[in-house]
Amino acid sequence: MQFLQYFAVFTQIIYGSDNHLNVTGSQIAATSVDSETATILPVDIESKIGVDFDITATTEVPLATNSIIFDNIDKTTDYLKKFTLPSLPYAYNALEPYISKQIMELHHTRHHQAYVDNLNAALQGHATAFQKADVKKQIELQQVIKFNGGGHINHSLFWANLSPAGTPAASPSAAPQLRDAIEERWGSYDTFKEKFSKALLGIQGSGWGWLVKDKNKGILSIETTKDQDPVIGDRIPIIGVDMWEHAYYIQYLNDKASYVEGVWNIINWETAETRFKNLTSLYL
Amino acid sequence: MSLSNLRARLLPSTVRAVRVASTQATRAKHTLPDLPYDYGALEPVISGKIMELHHKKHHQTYVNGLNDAEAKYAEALGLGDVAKQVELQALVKFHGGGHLNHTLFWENLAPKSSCGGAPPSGILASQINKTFGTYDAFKKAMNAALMGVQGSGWAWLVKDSETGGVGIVTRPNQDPVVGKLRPLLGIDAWEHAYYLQYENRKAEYFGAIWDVVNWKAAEKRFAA
Repeated sequence: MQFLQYFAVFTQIIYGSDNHLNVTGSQIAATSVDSETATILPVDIESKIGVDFDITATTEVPLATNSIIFDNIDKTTDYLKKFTLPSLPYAYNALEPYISKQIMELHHTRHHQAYVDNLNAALQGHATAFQKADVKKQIELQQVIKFNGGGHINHSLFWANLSPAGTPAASPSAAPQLRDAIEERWGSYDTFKEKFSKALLGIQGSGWGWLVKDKNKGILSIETTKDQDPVIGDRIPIIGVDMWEHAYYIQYLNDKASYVEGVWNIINWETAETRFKNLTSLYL
Repeated sequence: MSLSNLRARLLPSTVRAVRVASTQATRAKHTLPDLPYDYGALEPVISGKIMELHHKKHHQTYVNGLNDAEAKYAEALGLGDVAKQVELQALVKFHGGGHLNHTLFWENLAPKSSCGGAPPSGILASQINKTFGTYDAFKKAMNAALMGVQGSGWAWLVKDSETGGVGIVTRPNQDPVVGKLRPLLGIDAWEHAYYLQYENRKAEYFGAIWDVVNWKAAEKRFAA
């Protein structure tokens, strides 16, 4: 019974009636795969990383209880929303000299596009596995959905919270309420900046740094997430900074501290203010 | 009262001082190992610029970070500050892992003009064939593992020290292969390992690197 409940929750995440990716923190946390302990020995060529059972075998024995759900489901996957790459709100070279045109172009047209494509493929695969009652395949795809869905969410947030240097939006004065809240929380804007930068530089491996607001308590905090884990649940992302090497390497090489210093000149405080005031929600 | 305070109180100050002094005196600093070939020697598979940055900047940062973390750890050990020791373990793991992994990586690569790219031989070759069918099937499996790394990490051909068999594992970030599994051959899947040359086309990098893999080094590790 517990399984059926979980099952229903997950399918709701994927096939929710809303037209945007609707995933909450607790749901993802309950289904994530611990990549650290993932071991394949030996590797099955067809299998994916992090799955310790043979996923190539298809399950031909659907659980009796599942048929209740399946009978009511469209047997095609045409109803699935296809996510698309959002266009940038500025030109590829608009963030120079802090982020080069070449980085922006690769980052947007290659990296972000790959997350979108892989997310669509994973959702399609999941829908098919769902119709076939192939639970193992569905579970296998959860981590793929988390990674690529997270990549799509994170990059969409990131582009929108950047603005060309010197524009009105790139000045912290464009976020009066947020600025007050930051000063209340950290004492001064400079202290906040210092703490945020330190968090960004402390990330081990690939990941993101975020200014986050707790939806219920309204409290601000600095968080980091690994790989493409998104900020979800009761936490509202206000500002995100990409600390994957692909975000800066071509221009800054191993000098990530200079990238972090540079990024402060191109934060879109207008966007941050609207997110802080709960006036925007990410529709993908 | 915290555990560290408790221990500090139970330990006479003279004993503490001696312990701090002794742990610091006997601990050797880690240093950056020299590469067994020139920076440009792995071209065109890995550019000289990547090799130079990867060795002189990235690996050096892990060595420095490890020495720094160990110095702080020795101090915390001397003071009996368990909380601080536990806090420092993540840094030792990350920087120590980075130092171990890169040291193994440089050794398990070689220029084509030396033995780079020559397929495995001897008992290791038979173990690979036994597990994967063929050398090509193994490479395909290893590349699939590398492509599946989400974020930064490594893929390894390992030996199970209990069964003597071989297999493939991946590790996130700089987590090293330790315990009953022994690393035989590691491929760095961090973006800094290929980005300047291959950009987002990591499949090309994983496809090309087999031309500079040093199987003699892997065979030596297998026999050890």
